[in-house]
Amino acid sequence: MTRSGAPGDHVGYFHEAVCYDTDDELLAVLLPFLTGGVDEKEPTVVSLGPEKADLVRRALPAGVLPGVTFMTGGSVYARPAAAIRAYRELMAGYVAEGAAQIRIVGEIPRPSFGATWHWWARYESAINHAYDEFPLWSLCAYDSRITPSAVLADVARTHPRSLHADGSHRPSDTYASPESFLAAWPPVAPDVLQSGPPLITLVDPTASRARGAVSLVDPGLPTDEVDELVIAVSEVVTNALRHGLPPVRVCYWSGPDRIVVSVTDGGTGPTDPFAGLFPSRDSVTGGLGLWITHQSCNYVAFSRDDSGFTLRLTAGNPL
Amino acid sequence: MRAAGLPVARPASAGRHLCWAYADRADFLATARRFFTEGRAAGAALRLVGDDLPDIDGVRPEPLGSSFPPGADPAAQVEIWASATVAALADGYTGLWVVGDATPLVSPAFVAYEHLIDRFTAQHPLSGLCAYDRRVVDPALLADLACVHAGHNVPGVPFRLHAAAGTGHLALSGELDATGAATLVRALEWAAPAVVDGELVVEAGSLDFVDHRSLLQLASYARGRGATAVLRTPLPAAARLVELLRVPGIRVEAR
Repeated sequence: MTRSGAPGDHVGYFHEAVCYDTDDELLAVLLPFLTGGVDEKEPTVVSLGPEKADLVRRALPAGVLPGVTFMTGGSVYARPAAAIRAYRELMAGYVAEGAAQIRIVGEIPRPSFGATWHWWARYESAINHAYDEFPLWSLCAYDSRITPSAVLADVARTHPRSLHADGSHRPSDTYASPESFLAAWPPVAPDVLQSGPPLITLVDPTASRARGAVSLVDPGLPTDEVDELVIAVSEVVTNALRHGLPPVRVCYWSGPDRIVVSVTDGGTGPTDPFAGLFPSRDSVTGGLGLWITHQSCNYVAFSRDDSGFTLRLTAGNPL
Repeated sequence: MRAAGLPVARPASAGRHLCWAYADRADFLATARRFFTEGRAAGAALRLVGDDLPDIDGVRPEPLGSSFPPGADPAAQVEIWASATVAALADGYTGLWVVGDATPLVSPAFVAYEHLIDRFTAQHPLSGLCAYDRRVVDPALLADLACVHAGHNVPGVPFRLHAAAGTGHLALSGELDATGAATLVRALEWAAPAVVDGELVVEAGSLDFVDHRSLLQLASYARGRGATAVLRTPLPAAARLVELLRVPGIRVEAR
């Protein structure tokens, strides 16, 4: 079935970036997109921060506004694995109701362009696969004025095409398939806390002992954040003991606003390029535990070097 | 955090049910002596059951076969101790405290008996110190036996699956993670907890940690019984994981 608008005969996910320099430019792209969706009676969703959402609300024609669903961008984009889960459930519901196409415009909040960009880049790449079972046309908005050039380079590598204010759709010259993009793990900058020695180092601990050490370095974070980190540490240490190679070294740091835990084993880490971003029921690889870890921390970073594979977990403020 | 070896609180009318694995007979006898000292102070009748045991503080040993007749099924075995408890109360004692070296009786079916007697002690003034020679008993079987006691001294078994005081409901205490995963699966099979109105209630007020594997195992077990496991625990992590996993067969009641 031919879809409305640019996707036409495209099957699955039609993923476009919108890199804009001014609010007018953003509106020039979004208003036809949203109006078209409402006119076609397609589920039409806006996931923007409060300021941009207000901008769009004020600019939408009165007849169109009631047809648009506004989601709170900040909560949707709290954690990549949670965003994938929430969007997949949302879209499954729309498809069950008979939607021929779903339109979503979203914008990852600015703070994510800092220390945690790496996992959002993985998100932008992974969703090419994760959302491909849905007739989705989405626009991912990036404000060129505040987005670092390295982030924009990743945007080009993770979006097959871009939409511009003049209405043109242009393929990205640097687009890389998710399998290719996700398999290449660029070095992740250490947390500044890691410039000092760990407060605690455990070698080959039981999961129970590794969990217990979290409370010893807690600077007083909210209980639920500490509880979630405990879950994550348990999962990662269990995976390292079961699927990695010894020794398993667990290091703990803390600052006034966060706890950082690194878990290193002598293996090479997960082979699944989507590890952590989707739930996997495959207990052989520990994929479900890694997905729970991604749902339970404010940042998860992977790195590999000659000494092995390291997962770094952060509770509190990772920025 | 509660150590696995510490018993959970039970009302005064309920007994204690402890597992003591020993590699040194003198160590076992010293533990038995402490147990009897406590039982005597509580005004309980004392019995010592086991082959080749010495007197302990004036309590003479009875051969295993006298209290554990060959061929008795778990329910009949519990009935023997129930009658003995009634007799002790009739004689003016506050209850019955038994030390037994059950090493020669060990078998998978004995795990089912241990859980049944645990249910009885949770609601009656019968206390037991069940000793096993760890040099003889298969480690996996020893783990199964230990975990169905309200308290034990076996390392590497971080949880306890026992009867809740007063109600006899299934209770889980300690920490449930990959360490005890295989033991949990077997213990559930042996305990065969009751399903009431399609629900299998698990009192987990003394659970200190539960991971996603254990929740999936509980759910899988409950589904196999045509039921939903209801995990009663104040642990926010349990509710959060169940919400994330969205598997049928389990829900959490936050208490």
